Amino acid sequence: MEPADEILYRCSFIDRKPIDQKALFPLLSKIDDWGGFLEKAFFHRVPLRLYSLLKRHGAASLLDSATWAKIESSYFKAQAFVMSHEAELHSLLPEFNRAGVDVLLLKGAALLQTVYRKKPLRFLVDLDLLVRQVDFSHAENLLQEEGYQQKPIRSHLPSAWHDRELGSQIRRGTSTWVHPERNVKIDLHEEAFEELSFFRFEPDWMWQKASPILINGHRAFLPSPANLFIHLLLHLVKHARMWENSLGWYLDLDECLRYFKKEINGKACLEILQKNQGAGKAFEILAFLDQNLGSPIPTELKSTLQKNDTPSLSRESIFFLPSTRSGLRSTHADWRDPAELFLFYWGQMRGWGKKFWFLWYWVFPDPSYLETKYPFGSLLEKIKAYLIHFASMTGKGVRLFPHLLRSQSACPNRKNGYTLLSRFFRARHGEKYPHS
Amino acid sequence: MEKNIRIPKKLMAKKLEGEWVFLNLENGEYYGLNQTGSLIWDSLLKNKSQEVALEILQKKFPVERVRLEREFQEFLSDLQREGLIEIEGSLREA
Repeated sequence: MEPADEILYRCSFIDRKPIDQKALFPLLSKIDDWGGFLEKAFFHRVPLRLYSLLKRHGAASLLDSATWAKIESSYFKAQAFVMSHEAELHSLLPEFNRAGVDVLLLKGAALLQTVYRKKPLRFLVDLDLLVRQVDFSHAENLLQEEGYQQKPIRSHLPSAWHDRELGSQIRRGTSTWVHPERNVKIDLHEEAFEELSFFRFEPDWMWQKASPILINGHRAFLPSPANLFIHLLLHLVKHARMWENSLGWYLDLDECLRYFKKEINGKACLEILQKNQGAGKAFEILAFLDQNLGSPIPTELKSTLQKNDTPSLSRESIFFLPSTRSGLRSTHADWRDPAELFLFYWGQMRGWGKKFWFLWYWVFPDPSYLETKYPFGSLLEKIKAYLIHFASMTGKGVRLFPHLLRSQSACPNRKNGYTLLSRFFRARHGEKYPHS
Repeated sequence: MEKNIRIPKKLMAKKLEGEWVFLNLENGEYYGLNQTGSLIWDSLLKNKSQEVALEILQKKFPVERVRLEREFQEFLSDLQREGLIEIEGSLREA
């Protein structure tokens, strides 16, 4: 693991296994690019935790003053960013209340009102608000009246693949809004997951168990503890197979389990996981939380892990995929890789259509990035890896690559394509692949 | 007890590791206080009185009273200038 990743990993788990001063400072001395390191802390959603730990260990007196000033300013910026989103929620809720539009807080917005209410360690980059399907257009109009502008969907995609119809199909259920002056982003949801993610989580499940809350005297709703937890878990599964895999999301799950304790209904969580194809990785994440953080996993989930001897993710796997979008393709012109060209024409012949290519383009790391980590022995091997990755995206792993799952019994949900991909890499690169 | 310091409504504040961060909701500017500044802020927040805040600081920092009062007033002026506090009447003379 690189020193920057090691520091982020160890600094983030401040409440569980605190790193001591003696171990921290040799690691800090290995950081050459503090700007890049702090950017990475933002990406991993841990700038507040990082600052908290460095401050507690007296880093201010041990690092040079310019470096400390940079760390401090990065922290102030992060904290102010969170506060500006909270303030925005305070000013939007009265408008939604007046219009009779119920708003249910998801992810970070819900966590700030519960888990992190007395512990300002949660960094967030946007507000996720769920509204009822009948209110969705009304809510969009309200945001527009408040000066928000709808964010276009990935405008750099080739126009042939990015017509309005496809865009709305892929992102169905969510629209993204930004305020040009206030630097605030809102994801407005009518569905808990957009179509792209392939996960099923009916919004009605959220609404049925939601509870009202007053924020600054204005009404909003919070998901039930189990729904908040399982939504966060599936969200992490979705992203952990793509490009983002923020450390902060693992910590959210742990904090959530500790805060709500027995209020999280393990049986309900298990039912939702079993309904979702490709959610097998969720069990590997739970095993990670259990083994690394000692998180209080609900009994029903824990017994499933033990029964199936589910492997834990390794800590390296958190840092496996690119930590920024720079590891992904930025333009269509990057498609020069022979394996990709082969697959392009093969996909065309199979009539998989635009959706396949949109997904491929959107979620697969740049081949050169992957190749620096795991050199492919041959073109055929590379094509196979790509196909397996596609299978992992779509949850169709079992149908396309049954032989890779023939002898395994570890994962309760055998349709997990990510497990296929890891098995493929492990067979070729042994322990080097960060998934054990 | 003298109650002459007000925190404007446009201000949002958070505390982590003994340090305050403020966000001015009108212009989006943010400020951070170090631990000494945060200690003064805490005593102002609790007592809303310069006199009581000074007494607390005097116990914490055993320096000459004149110097303490001068630096305290400078700090309050800075806060007032940046719009982080509103003071009823004028500041005490150092």
